Amino acid sequence: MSHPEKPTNNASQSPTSGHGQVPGHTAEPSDVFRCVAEDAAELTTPQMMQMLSHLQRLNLSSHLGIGLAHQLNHPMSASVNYTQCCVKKLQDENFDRHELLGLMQLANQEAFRAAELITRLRRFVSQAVPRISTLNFNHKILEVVALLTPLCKEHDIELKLELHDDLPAFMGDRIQIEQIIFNLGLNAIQSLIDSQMSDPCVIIKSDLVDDKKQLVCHVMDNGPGLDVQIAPHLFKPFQTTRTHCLGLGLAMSKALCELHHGQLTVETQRTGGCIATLFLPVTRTAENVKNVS
Amino acid sequence: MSDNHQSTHTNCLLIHEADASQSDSLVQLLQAYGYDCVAVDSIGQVQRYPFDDRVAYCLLADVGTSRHGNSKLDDYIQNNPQLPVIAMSCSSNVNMAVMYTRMGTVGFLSKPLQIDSLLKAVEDGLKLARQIMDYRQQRIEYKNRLERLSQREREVLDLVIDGMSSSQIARHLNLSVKTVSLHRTNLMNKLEADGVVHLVRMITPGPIPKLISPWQRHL
Repeated sequence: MSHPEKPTNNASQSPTSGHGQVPGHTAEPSDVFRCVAEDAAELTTPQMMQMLSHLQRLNLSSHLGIGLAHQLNHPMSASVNYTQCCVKKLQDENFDRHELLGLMQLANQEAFRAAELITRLRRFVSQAVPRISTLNFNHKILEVVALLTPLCKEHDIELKLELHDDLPAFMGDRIQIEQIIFNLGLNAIQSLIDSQMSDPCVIIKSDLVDDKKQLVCHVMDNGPGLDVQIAPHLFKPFQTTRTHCLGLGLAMSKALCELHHGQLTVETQRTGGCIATLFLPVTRTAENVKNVS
Repeated sequence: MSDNHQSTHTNCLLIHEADASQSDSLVQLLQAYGYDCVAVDSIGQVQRYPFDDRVAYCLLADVGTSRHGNSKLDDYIQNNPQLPVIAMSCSSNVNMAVMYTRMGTVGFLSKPLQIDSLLKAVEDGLKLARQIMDYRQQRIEYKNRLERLSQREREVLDLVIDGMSSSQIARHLNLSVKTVSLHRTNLMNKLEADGVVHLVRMITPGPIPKLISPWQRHL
C-alpha cells in the first residue's frame, strides 16, 4: 500500500520544548504521534495489522455506547414484564399451566435476545487471531446492521437494506469483513448525525458484478457528501473532520480490504450524499488471501 | 352533583410501546392485574381511537430516549389534557422526566418497569381519568339543562350571574319585578339549581381536573 507523506518538520512540537522539561520525560509528544502515524501507515506487518485493527474495533464499539444500552433495555424490559406477570398469576393462585409456561418461554426468549446482542458485540471486539473461512456476504452485512441499528434508532436515521438474494460464498476473515462494513456504515451514520439533515437515511446494498466475479457492498447516505479538503487524503490515517474520532476508519478499511484482494472507493454521489463501495473478489481460496492469518 | 354518576366504572389502558414484544409483555402483565388493555402502534391510532364516554382511559406511552422528545407524542399530550398519559422510557434522564412531568403526564417511569410504581401510576392515571369523565359528564348535563330555558329566562339568568338583583333586572328588561321573580323561580327549577353560586358553576366551566400531587393537597 502507498505510504502517506511522513511529517517532515517539527511544527507540531510543543512550544515548551528545549526548556522546562519534566524530568524523566524523554519523548516529545510529537515524536510519539509521528511514530504511531508511521506504524499506522505501515500496516503491512500482520501482527501490527492485527493489533491495530483490534484497537480500531474497540474504538468503534465506543461509538455504539448509549444506543446499545437502550437497545439492550428493550428485551430486558419485556422479560421483566413477563416474569412479573407470572409472579402475579402465581400469587393469585389463578393460573393455567399452559399459559404460565408460555409466559416463561417468552421471558426466556427476550432474555436471550438481550444476550445475543451482547455476544455479537463481544465477538466484534474480541482479539481473535484472523482466520480465513467461507463466508456469506449478506450474513456479514446483517451482523453489522444489527450492531448499527441501535445507533440509527437513537438518532432517527432510517436504515434500508437492499440485499442481492443469490450471492456466492467467499473466503475471508469474518471479523475483518465486518469491520470494513462497520466502518463504512458508521461513517455514513456519523455524517448524517453531524449534518443534521432532514429525513436522514442510510442504504446498504449488496450485489454481484463483473460477470459474477465480484461481490459489492454499497453504503449510501443522503448526507452532505465528502469534505472537499479531506477528499484527497481520504485513506490516510488520522485524517478526520470529526473531533471525537481517531481518523483510522477508512485507512484501516482500505488496508483490510487489500488483504482480501478487494477494492474500496468513496465518492460523493451526484444526488448528494456519500457512496462507499466495497469490492471483494469471489473466487478466492484460503491460500490466495495473503497475510491475513 | 353529577346525576348520571355510575357506581361501577370500566377502564381501559392504551399501550403504546417501543416494540412488539414489550407491548405484548406489558399488555399481559396489566391484564394479570385485571386491567383492560389495548395495544396501539402509533399516535395516529390513538387520535382515531373510538373513545367511549363511559370508559376511563389512560395512555401508557414509550417516549423514546431522545433528549429532544418525541414531537408527535408531545403535541398529542399537550393538546389532549382529557387523556391522562404515563410516560415510559428506558433512559432515566432527569431532563426528560422533568419535561414530561411539566407537560402534565401523571407519571414518568423508567424501564424495566418496577411493578409498584407502574401500578401506582396506572391507578393515578385512571383516577384522574374518572375525574375528567365526571367533569365532562357534568358539563354535558349542564348544557342540556341550559337548553331547557326560554330566551327570556336565559336573559334573566345572564343578568343574575352578573350580580343584579330582581328589581335591577326588572328595570333593565322593562318588566315588572313580579315577572322577573317568576322567571327566576322557573329557571332555578329547570336548571335544578340550589342557588346563585350553583348557577355560576353551570355557566362558567371550572378547569379540567389535574393530578394533585401529595404536597399540593396541603396548600
